[in-house]
Amino acid sequence: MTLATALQWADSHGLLLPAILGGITVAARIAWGILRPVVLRRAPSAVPIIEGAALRVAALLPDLLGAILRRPARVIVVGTSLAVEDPPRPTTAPPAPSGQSGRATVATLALLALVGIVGLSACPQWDRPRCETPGVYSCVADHPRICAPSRELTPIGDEPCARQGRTCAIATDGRAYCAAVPR
Amino acid sequence: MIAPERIEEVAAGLEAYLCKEFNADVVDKDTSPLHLAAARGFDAARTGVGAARALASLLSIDVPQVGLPTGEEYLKNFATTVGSTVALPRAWRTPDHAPMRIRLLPHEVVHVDQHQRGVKAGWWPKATTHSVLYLASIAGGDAAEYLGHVEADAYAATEALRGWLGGGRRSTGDITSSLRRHYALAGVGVVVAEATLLGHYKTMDDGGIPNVRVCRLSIDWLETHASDLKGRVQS
Repeated sequence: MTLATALQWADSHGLLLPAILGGITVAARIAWGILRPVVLRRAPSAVPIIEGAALRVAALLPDLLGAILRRPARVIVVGTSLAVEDPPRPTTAPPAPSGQSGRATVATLALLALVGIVGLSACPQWDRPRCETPGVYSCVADHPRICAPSRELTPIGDEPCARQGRTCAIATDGRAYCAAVPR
Repeated sequence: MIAPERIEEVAAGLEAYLCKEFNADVVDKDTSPLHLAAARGFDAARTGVGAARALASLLSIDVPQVGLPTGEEYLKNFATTVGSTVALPRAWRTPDHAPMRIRLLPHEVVHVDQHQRGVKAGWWPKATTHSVLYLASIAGGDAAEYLGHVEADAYAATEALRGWLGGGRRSTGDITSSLRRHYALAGVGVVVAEATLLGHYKTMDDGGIPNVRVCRLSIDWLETHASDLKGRVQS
């Protein structure tokens, strides 16, 4: 079963709204899992505001989507999780797909969940010194650096210039590089 | 004219040296269960994008085109590094692809080194893979800047090796454009990548090599074991 046919099946069984809400919930949780450490570091006071706003959006979303899709649905909101009761199924619904096809969908969902979990665990804690002006090069500890758009001093390369018998220097055009050592 | 067998011999020697030095493995992508599964994932994701587009049409939302490779393209056209394992398409193991392997294997081993440095720094667990940063980079500026930094270092190594073999360097704009296109790198990541490449290119213009450990060791090895190839392999 492809995702497209799964969605068609869900639609014909009155499950389109729960499917969309489930997808949005998973995507939002993954996105927030990635962003939360960054927000917590830079603006800790914003975290409860964002999470409070998300709860309100989560409460409104089922009604909003229900109105857009024009499907009746009874929705129960529990914390930030959403559980949706099925509306009555149409009597003309097509037969359910075979179990063989269904396994592909389960595998796809498992793959997506795995990617999400691994993605969250890999978010880097990259602590860099602050810098004043984005785009300006400098030399620190014989190592070229660039002030990144985040105003954090970012290394160029992964070792000091001395390893190749050179020294870090700033060129006339402003670029930091590994220059030949003057004799 | 350098015999293809000699270039193949050098490519194999460089591969063995880098694997030993960086504790890396090189596998055939076409027969790796992980990459076969990933290829199926790409096919499923393409179907998912199509389904999302169909769903969005119900809601009158435009879904932009996403440049995902097919499973077959993923297996045949891309080298991929997961943790300390570099996967190369099997077709790249033929002598006519040897110059490409000399250029690209150090690029991939740069990613192995970056992964291992991240593990040592406690940035991510050993069990995970450096590659998933691509996912994080879509959502976070920090991750996008990190991705710009690591890819620019790896591409600088590729260009240094291309220059050593006798080829002309790609422009920084060409490289950052492909980072945007193939990796969906966000704006701040592209800014860091371009600034990093410009620094490395200045070093190369001055007769040096990028201050990237894998690049330095690769060129040292080539100077010692394959100086007959220097400047004579144009492809």
